[in-house]
Amino acid sequence: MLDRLAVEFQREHEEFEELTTRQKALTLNRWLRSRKLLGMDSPNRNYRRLRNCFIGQALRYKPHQSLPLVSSAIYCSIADRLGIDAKPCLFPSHVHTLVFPPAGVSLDGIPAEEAEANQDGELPTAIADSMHLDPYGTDEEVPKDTLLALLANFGWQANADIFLSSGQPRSLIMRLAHNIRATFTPDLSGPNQPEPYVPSFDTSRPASGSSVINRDSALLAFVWARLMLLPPNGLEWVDSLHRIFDRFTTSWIGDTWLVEKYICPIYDLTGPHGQVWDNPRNLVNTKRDQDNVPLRPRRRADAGAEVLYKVGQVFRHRRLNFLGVITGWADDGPVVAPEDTVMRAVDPSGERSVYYTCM
Amino acid sequence: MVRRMDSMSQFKVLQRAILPVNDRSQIPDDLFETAGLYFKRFDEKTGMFISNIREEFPDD
Repeated sequence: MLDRLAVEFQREHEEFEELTTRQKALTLNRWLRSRKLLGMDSPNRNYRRLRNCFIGQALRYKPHQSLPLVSSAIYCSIADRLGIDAKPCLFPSHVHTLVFPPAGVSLDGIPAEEAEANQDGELPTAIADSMHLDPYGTDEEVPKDTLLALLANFGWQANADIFLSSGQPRSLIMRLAHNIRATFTPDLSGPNQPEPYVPSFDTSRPASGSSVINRDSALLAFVWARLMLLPPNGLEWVDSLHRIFDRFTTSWIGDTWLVEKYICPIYDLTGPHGQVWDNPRNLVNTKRDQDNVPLRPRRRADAGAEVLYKVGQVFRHRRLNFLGVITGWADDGPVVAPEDTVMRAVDPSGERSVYYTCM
Repeated sequence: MVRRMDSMSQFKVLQRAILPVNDRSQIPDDLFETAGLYFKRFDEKTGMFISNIREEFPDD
């Protein structure tokens, strides 16, 4: 898709190569924005939609809405195909884009030897000859002074270098991960309401896949991003590890091999820390031992009481009113209430399916 | 207060709390999607998912 867009742009701009870097950057920005490939309508409603975090969704489906970070990535990717050196820039609260001229030439086409040195006799630094764009928000170049003023509002002008220069991939990934995570925090300012059911052609949702599984996968991606990119002895890392452990205990989707291949080495690198049970290798070994235990077949005739329903039966819970499917049964559950009969209760284990609200 | 249950975890339900549902039209799409984690096929006639764990539950 990105290749196709680059080719299309080139065809429409035959004299592109003769422009200065600055002109090229602005032309591309204007073109992409005029095609409505960047940015977002109604950000107060759409900023925290999961779908807008994903570059694939933004490029493939109309409306092509995306977060500033994703808009910047789209811009930089196409710019790269056109020979423009552009990188995302991790400005607080709103990712911008930096454009650099090729070596030896300024943004406006002036060769380096003619560039003026500043008072100390040094040549301009990389930051000095770069321009900022906001493909998400505007057609025009964003002057450094505007950005510096915004930083001053936050009180961060002393660190301007960090915020105005290009972001490391690691930081970009974490930034997106946090954005994904943030789509799941409930809106604290408005009334608490569950997301209404929307039909599948609603483009504010990811275009395919179960919303439940998408949600689970997106949150899992957030946890894994932390595990791969954060220092292993930090609190956030250990917290993320515990979430992976929880996943093993609450569902069969353990992905044991992934933990073994990627997380154990990271943990091992920093030596044993935390409690013994924090070591992911223990989890992996336990899981493998469990998997190797042969299953004892459960026959209905052996059950303490009569098993009425079969595996695969869809049911509604009498009291809690949710829908589930039976995935097995056992007759060794805890005795629950005094009105149980002499026969032990038979507990089919079921799967809950639907979100519900209660007052 | 909104309470959300994780749709992908299994837990135990007492037999006497079960009201069987065998009508395909009463089953919403999202149940099918999450049931796909445990079942591969669904029998339209009986309105039940087809077990693929006969090793553990041979009579079902």
